[in-house]
Amino acid sequence: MTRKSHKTSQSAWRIYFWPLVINCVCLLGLVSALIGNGWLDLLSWACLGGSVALLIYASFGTVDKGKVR
Amino acid sequence: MALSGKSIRNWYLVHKWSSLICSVFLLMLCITGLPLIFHDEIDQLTQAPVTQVSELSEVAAEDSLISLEAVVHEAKAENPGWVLMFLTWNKDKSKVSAVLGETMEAEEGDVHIIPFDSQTGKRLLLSPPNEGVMHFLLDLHASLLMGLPGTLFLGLMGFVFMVSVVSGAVVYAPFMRRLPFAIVRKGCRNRVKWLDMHNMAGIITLAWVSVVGITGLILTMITPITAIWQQGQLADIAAPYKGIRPPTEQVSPDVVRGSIFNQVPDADISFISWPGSPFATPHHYTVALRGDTPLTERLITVALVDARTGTVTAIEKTPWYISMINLSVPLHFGDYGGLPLKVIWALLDIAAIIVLGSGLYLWLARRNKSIEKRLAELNIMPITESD
Repeated sequence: MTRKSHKTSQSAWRIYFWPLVINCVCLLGLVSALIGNGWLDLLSWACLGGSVALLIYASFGTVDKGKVR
Repeated sequence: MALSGKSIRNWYLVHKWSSLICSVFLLMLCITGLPLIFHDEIDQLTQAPVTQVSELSEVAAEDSLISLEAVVHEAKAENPGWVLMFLTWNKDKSKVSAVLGETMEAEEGDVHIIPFDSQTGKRLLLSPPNEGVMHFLLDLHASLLMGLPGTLFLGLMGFVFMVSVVSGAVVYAPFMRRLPFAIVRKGCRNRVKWLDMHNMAGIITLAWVSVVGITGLILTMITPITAIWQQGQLADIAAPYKGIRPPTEQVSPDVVRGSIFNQVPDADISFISWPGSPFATPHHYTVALRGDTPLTERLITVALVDARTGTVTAIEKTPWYISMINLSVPLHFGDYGGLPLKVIWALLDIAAIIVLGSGLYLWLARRNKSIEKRLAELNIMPITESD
């Protein structure tokens, strides 16, 4: 996995952008199975399952070639 | 919207102390909650095969509506001197259970629950749902085995947890100023790895944890919220009966059911509460009706039936706070989207355990180091590109 650090501080908007997107998708998943069945269940599994998949993928880690003090 | 050093320090202190106060209880809730997600499946696997013992089917009516009076009669015969509080139907309507207590005020743990086949009326030999390992886990999860005081205490811990979640989302920013989203650095010291894991899993599960936390907090308030309903909507319906003695002879539950079907032909009855029980007035049966859509099936409409005459006195939607409780149950336990949603719920629960565990580890590993030093350290930590 390739990740790039930021040389300067990021704005709050940049820091929270992806968390906002992912948590909105999660909320959509939480509500969709509640208001219907069938494809709304599928949507719920996709939205919440997607965030679990991201979590598992990220937890494998990013190789850091730099030294940590 | 950059926070000043002082604000960061204050938010960090709020996060640290709120987390420390509630984390042991939250760990217990997450661990006991894990098997509870699959309680239906575990119950099915661990239940003895269903055995039918009585011959009540002979009294079943032609339209397959069983005689509720016969069910009540048999349940009472098994528990001489006990009073019938409720008849409840399970979700798929295959089973109707008679709930009896020594008095109408009996607590959940003190009642006898007698199951019957709802199609034939035969008595079923099943383990009572208020006994066994799963009930123990639910009791521990919901009240620390201490009844209402334990439940209210867990509600307080739920509130502290929500403070921890909000403050955690705020202090996420200073820790991530120079880091890409969801990074977990490999090849670093354990503490750095677990800090990254804590931030990554915490921010990804934020919405889910908030929903499960808030709904859990709401569910700890069931007793006080029910008391508000009893003194509000239920008392208003009973007001015209003030000063009148409760009837000594009550119409049979079959008459009650018939009156409901006359008014609402496609009624889906969830439970019938007996006059004098906590969900009824001394003069009325309360019949709880489910809606007919996926959303409204979780919302209850109550019909009150005069216990003396059998006529329907009122059919009303429950107030918003009762609907809030009814919607909180699926959103807390995750049992509303089939087995795949339950599996996802369990994985998110494990992620929450990792967030709690890593938070405790980070505190233990660096409890003598100030927040300023930690942030300064993060700023000089090189995070290089890697493939």
